[in-house]
Amino acid sequence: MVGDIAFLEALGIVTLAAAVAALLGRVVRMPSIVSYVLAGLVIGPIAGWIVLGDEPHGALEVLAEMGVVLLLFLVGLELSVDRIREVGKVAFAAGIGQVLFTTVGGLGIAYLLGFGWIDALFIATALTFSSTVVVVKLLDQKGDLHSLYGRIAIGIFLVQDLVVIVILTVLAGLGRAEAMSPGAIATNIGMAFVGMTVLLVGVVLAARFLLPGALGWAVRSPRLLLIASLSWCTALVVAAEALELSVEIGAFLAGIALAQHGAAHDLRRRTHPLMMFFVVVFFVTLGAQMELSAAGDYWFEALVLSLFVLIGNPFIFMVIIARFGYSERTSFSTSVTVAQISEFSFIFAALGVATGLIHADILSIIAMVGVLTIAASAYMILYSEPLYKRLSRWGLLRMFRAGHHEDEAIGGSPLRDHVIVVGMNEVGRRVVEELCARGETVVAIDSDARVLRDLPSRCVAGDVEYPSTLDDAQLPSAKLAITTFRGEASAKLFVHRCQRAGVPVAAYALDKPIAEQLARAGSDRVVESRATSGERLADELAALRVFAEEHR
Amino acid sequence: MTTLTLALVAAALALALSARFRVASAPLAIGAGVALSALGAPIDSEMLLEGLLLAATFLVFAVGTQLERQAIARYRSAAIGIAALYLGVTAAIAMAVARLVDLDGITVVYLVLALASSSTLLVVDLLRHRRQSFDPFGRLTTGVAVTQDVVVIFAIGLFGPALLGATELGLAGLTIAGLLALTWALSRFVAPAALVRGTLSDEEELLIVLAVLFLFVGLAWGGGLPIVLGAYLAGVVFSRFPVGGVVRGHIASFSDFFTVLFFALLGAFVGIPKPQEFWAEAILIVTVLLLRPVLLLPILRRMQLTVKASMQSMTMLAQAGEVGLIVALVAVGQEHVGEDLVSTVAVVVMVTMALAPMLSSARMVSWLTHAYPQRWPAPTPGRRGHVIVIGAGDGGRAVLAQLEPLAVDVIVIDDDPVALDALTSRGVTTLRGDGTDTSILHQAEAEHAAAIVSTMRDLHDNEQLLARVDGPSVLMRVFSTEDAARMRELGGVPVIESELATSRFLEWYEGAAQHRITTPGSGH
Repeated sequence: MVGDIAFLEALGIVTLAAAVAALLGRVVRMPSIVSYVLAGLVIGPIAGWIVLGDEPHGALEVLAEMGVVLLLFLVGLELSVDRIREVGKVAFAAGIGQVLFTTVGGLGIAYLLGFGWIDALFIATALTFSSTVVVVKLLDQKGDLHSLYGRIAIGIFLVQDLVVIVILTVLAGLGRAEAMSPGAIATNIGMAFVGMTVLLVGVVLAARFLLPGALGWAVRSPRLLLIASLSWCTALVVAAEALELSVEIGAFLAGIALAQHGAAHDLRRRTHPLMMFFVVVFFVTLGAQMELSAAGDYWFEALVLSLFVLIGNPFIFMVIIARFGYSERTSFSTSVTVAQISEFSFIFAALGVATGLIHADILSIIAMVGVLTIAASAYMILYSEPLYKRLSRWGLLRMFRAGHHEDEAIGGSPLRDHVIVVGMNEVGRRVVEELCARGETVVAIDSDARVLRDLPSRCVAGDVEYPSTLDDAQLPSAKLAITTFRGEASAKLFVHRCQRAGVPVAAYALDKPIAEQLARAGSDRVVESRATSGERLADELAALRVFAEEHR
Repeated sequence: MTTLTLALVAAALALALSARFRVASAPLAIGAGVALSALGAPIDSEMLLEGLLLAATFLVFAVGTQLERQAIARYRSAAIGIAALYLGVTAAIAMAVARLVDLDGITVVYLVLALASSSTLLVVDLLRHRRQSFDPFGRLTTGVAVTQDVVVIFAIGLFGPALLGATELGLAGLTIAGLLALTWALSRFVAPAALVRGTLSDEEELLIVLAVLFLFVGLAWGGGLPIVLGAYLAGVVFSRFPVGGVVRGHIASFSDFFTVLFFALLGAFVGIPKPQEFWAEAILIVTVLLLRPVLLLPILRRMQLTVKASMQSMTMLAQAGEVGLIVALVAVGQEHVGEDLVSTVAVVVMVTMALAPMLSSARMVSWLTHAYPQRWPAPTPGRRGHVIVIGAGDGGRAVLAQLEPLAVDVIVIDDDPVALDALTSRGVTTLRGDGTDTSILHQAEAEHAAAIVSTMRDLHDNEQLLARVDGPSVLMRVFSTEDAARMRELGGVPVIESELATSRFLEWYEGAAQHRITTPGSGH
């Protein structure tokens, strides 16, 4: 086969290591991203099965980058501009406040630990960044992207991303005296904001004039919808990179531009599996790239700095967010999301080493802090609720003087005893209309959002092959289900899932072989179309009485 | 990211054009890739090759998951026979061509393997779009396409080692046997336990599926076999129901993403075809489109396939597909042939896949069927007041069952000799042919019939029937109220399937709802 097999070999090792680590981690209830980073550490620095960094693995890097891109694209799809704007003030204040606090605090601690000023400055700046990818992945896993604290956290990370751009822009000029003048720095920062403005204007115009028509047309083919949306997303990422902005911002804006469209939910469903895999590649390669050669000599410094990130960052967040009137629970849940450093921290430190400003040992210290804080904060985020309850019971959160009110209603509207009908062909539509007329709560499902318009029922756009489609339809609490699919593959799968959920199901079959397969799959009733219509044809024939006279 | 973006944009344009003009997306995506290359787009060549490798791996994996044995079980032996014939006829033609254009033996073998399989993806797409997936011919055609994939993928697995010597061939055979045993064990025990009965999260399930893919790819590579063989068998691990359904939910997006990307990247890889290859490509295109179907048709007819089904199958399979491209890429990767082979096969694939939808259209098949000579004893003349039933399938047999107690004189018209033989042996008068054919209707004395009952599914067929018959009532089944209105307008008496199905579902609903009221707690 053409192509370099080494890339496929590396990807294979990454995937197998991730699968093994995820299954082992499951036994000890380890958050999956911790398992992935550990898997990366094993196959990279420890066992040396893959070597990243020196030798470029082009496509592997693109896949890992695609993980970050799709993750942020999905966040954008999930959230509307209004929902982000709601939390704009607190996100801005907390984002900037934390950057200042961590920089100053980190500088002080690093200096006290015996590092020189330049080293201390690099360490402090590296500690400032929190990982958008880690947090968004965990929020997605918890299903909390929509929650108030989830939105505040995402807002904060967007603010931090802008700060990162500014810092990396400044750093890129380090070592070149002319680029370090105040005028050059101001120009660089100005360029970043001009780039941001250009991108924003472009996205707003596209969202207004180009995308609605294009997507409305693309929705006729699920494959076209997916590929067209992904090409829009990657095109915006390339544009963001060209404007010297981060890929995260490009992908997030690409998602936001599509969020208002009716197909956004189905698009999210289709993009999610791709994102899951590519993000796994991101985390494993992140672990594999860790430079831990000097870790043994600096374990104490790394531990102190990690504790600063794990306790100090949430502390300052609690202070700021509680000042904005949010409840103790919301303030706490948001605060624990920033208790780690980011993949940017490694890039930042690596740039420092490359420019000769800091020693390579600093990179090892930052890598160790990264591993420790990402692992610990993953537990803190996933188990934030029990942690909150325990700290609240011990009275440790009283000092922040946050309220105990509920900021928002928890959970959506649950369905119960509803009827699910999948496949909105003429049979499906008729059944939905008849059941609604009988006063039933009906959820209609079809992969084509266009055929769901004008139905009197609740609707879910998506393929039943995606488990999330049936989650949205709340299958386990349905009382009956009906599939009118003419294709046997989807019908069989739906019947199987209904049977597993204990929901009685009736299915439509074109002919006897399909009917037999559906009955074997567990369908409680099969409506066999051809035989039924054949019988009715004979009845109609008898009703015509065309041959009665001659044969009597 | 730039290379990926360019490939995605090209693929999106190809899909949009495919949706707009209803042509196959693969040739358009290859064309879009060629255009990228011709326009000098900034494509990273290393990224292109790695992307192509990964996309091909996922593509073959997706093809492997299509092998749901249960769905095509009834047509297995026919499918194997036809696939073997395809290989034989292609080899015979290729050897004749090789003598003419002076090709070496290894290139001929790869060329035969590249052209001996049709695109399963296109066949499945066309059948689904035309709602013919579940017709007997549709199942047979899918069965043939899937069997061709199996034959070709195993053949390229063995051909490379065979060139090295008997020992290598033996080792390759043992590795394949080991992989097959592993495939069986995983699909029988591990996959259902992990993906159906287990309680893993979506992410863990996806990782298991992909880990199995890369494990098989690694094992195939380690055993000196092409990685596509491993990818294909990994797909087969997850092809059985219900695992297949669960896995489709996880990999459907991968399949969509990588399939279209594969074709676009391949286009960028091959670039603009060279003019000096034109004659070789033209001969191969004619072979795939015309020569092979013509040679195969009489053989299929001897296998008791009806003329129409044979025509439908042959025209739909008259193309070379994705597996052919993979064969060419494997041959180039093993340095057995030059890169020109990929370019040649890509041109043949583009042209034949682009023409396949038109060639297999209902109108073309109808025209070809009418042009084919066929004989069947005509019924005794002089009938009056009889009933003509068109179609001897499920619908037709259900009509007959209702008419039998009434002792009505019935003639059944169908194209399928097997179905007609079964009825003839029961004493039913039969007439073989197309129910829309004027001469067949004349032989059945349609003008003197009391009624005609059509169970033909195609609206166009029923329209033709109504246009050609004057006098008797014509009853037919249609799916929607819209089709029913059209039939009434033309003088027919339609039975609306969607209406019937709806009332059956509502009957079940009333019963099930009643049952749940009387037995609270059931179903939860």
